[in-house]
Amino acid sequence: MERRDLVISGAGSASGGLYNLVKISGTGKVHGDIDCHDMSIHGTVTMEGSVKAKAVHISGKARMTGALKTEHAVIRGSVRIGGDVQCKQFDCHGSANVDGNLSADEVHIHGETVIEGDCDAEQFKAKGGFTIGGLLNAGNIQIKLFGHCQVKEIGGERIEVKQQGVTFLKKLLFHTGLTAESIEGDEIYLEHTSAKAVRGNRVTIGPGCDIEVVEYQSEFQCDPEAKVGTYKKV
Amino acid sequence: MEEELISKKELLERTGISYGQLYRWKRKKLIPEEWFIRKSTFTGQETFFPKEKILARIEKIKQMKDDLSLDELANMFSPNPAAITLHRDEVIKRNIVTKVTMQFYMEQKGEQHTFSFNELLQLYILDQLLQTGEISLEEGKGVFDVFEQHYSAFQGRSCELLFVRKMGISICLLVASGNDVYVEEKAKIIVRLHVPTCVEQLKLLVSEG
Repeated sequence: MERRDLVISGAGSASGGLYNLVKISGTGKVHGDIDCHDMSIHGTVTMEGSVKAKAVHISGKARMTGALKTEHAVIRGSVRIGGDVQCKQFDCHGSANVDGNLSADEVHIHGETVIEGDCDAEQFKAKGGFTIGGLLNAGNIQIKLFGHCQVKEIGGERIEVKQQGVTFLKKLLFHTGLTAESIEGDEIYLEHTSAKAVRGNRVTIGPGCDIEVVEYQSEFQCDPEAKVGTYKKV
Repeated sequence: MEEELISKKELLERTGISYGQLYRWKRKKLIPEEWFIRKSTFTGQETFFPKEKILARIEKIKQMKDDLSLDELANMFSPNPAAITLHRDEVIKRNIVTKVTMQFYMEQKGEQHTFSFNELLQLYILDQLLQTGEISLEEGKGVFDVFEQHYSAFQGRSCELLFVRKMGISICLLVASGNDVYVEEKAKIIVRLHVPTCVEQLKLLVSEG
């Protein structure tokens, strides 16, 4: 079947289905599931259903009630996704809310992101604030702290949490740091993190940390400005 | 059906794998999500695993990971059918299914020379059931019927095959796994078979040849 384009400029609504290009600039509403090659949104859009696309580009405000399945998702506006997200690359420069799980090869977060479920990725890079309600599971986790980050559990091979230069004023006004219940990995480097338990092979605890229990296998280093309850070699 | 559990820490100590490996295998779906059981302990929440299953699985992964890539391994452990077909003679020759079961299948479905994975799975499961002597050949028809019509509905989710008998009459059911099943007093669950385990065993048998 031939796929046609769906273009809405101004206000309009359409039904879901198979499309080639879906381009909405303005206010739009889509009823039903969409399967398309490219999706680009520059306005305010509500989609009642799920979205399957090769590439999704959102620079406005979008809300979808279902799941999102795509190869490359770029978000520069604000997005709320009611279901799970499955993609190869997930870039968020705005704000994103995922009510389900996020699973991707690469995740880049530069804005504010809330994931209610779990987050799986090979590469997870974050610069900004995020909240993950479940487990963050990634091969390589790099977090640059700019705001408040909260994760229930973190697991992976390499985990690095660093704080970038923060001005004195910002320090007074905003809380920056990462909170987690447990952090488990092979190589762990943490700054400004508070956690109940940190377990790993090589663990380095940097300044500003507050950790209740550290369990390590081969190496343990602790900054004098960090607070560690107990640590033991297992 | 209380299973013995093992804590994450104990598991890593016993098997010698690292946290990173465990998480990577989980990510690749080599270890199913449902095995991660959360329980509260005095140190907060901890993760436990069904002991026998996880130890067997990790042993298998460790053995095979040198020969196969993680993705290939994931395929092997996933409940999705493998994309293969086998010839009848080969199935018999490699002892995947006994001749009796094969003949019974032919009687029911007519002559067939090649078998898809799903058909092999039906054969394999019936074969297992017959060999343990829990059901009769006649009752095996139910297994074929229920699989033919309903197995596709599970689409990769794991399910269990149940066989209930009451006063000589038997019923065959497919149930999503992890559910409790209760039957009335005179009825009895004769068989409770975890289908993904069979899928896995069959995949191993098939790929070995």
